[in-house]
Amino acid sequence: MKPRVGSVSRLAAPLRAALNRFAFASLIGACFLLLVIQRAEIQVLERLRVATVDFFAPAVDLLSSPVARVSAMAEDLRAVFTLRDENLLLKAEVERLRQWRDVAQRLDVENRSLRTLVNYAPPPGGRQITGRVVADAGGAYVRNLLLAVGSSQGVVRGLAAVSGEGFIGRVTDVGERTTRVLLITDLNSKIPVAVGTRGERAVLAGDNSALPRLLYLTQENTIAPGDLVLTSGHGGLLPPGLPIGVVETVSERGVTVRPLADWQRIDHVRLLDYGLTQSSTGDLPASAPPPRIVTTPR
Amino acid sequence: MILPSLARAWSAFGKVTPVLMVFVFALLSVAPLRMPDGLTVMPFLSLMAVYYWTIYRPDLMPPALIFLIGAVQDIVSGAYLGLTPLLLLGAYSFALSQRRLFLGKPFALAWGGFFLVVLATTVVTWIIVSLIARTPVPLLQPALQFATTLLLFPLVVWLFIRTHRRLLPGQ
Repeated sequence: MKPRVGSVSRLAAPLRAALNRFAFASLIGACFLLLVIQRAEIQVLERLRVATVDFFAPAVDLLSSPVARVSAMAEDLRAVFTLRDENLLLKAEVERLRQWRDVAQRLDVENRSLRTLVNYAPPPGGRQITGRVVADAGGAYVRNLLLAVGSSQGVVRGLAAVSGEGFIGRVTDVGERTTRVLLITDLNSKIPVAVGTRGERAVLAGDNSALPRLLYLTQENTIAPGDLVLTSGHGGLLPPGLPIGVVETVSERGVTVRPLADWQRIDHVRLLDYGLTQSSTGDLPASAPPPRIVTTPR
Repeated sequence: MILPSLARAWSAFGKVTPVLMVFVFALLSVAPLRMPDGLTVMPFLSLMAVYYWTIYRPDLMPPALIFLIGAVQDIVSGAYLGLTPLLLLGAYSFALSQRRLFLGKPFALAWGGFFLVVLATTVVTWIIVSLIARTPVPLLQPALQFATTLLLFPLVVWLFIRTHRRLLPGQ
């Protein structure tokens, strides 16, 4: 009996090594397979992906909260040292904004009287969903946020995401409890925009750097640094007129845009639903839905 | 009666610790760590964990689990699915084949090996992402990640060594 066991184990060792090597090779193969097929948007795989995010979101939230707190504390500490300078800046800003408020009030009155003249029908009021940022994927190659809201709060794919300052990205994945927002700085982000007072059309494309670029500008454009960049609403996926950023540099190598959003301080994100994402399947609603605000509990 | 079973539970906990640490580090990679100018750079923490534990306890680092953890990291971070498991398994393969070289030698040698791993990881990632995006992507962020990963490695290893001594004594 004994020698037979010995011979089996002597045989089994190389066999096990070969099996292990085969298993390792198939895992590597699986990695490449995943890399190749992810762009195919296979339904089952997508659903599995979203469910996985939903499942791990609480763990991520738990793990990331101390990191976020330390990060915020460092930020607060830095703010203390720049308090005086910031105060002066803010005072100047308030002065400037007061003037703008007067201009806006005057324009508002003028606008209203002109609207009554031409019988203008205002666009339907939107719905807002506010979500807390759970994760901030800061890999070297991706720029997105994970929010603690999902389809149970009425989030759908394609909604516009805005911070306090302006448009920051678009909803790409929706789970039951989580939502992923692809930021405008991500490599895969392409947003139709209107630039400057003339509203010149272009596409804002992210490249993972802090400054996304403008593509497909016309040859005779008059874009200059300081021009405001807004969503154009072309393609019908996003509402027009949301501020995104300001033109930073104009050169032969391209036009870069500095986003308005303060990436360091994005803790909550508002998702704007104007019913645009469903408009491709049916007609627009005849009457505007009443504005409704949904906020997630902490 | 209670003491032996407690000891057994403790030792079982010690045995899953390496995998658990890789997993926690994988999830930590999406923690909101913000830096000025929209640069959010996170060191490649799960790579450090896989490299260390493969050198010192390869028996507690099954490749199938490394694959799964890498896939979860990609899914949660919304990155290119399949990339992180590929990189982690590459690091595992390198560490496993060279571990005799590092065992019982000064830490600097293992750090040098890690330098090679991070360098290869950064280059491979850049090539794959550029191929998928069909355009050469900017190098600033990968370079920053390379530097932070390499520089933070000793600190993280110190944490690993402490855990290692506490949970898996004499091994």
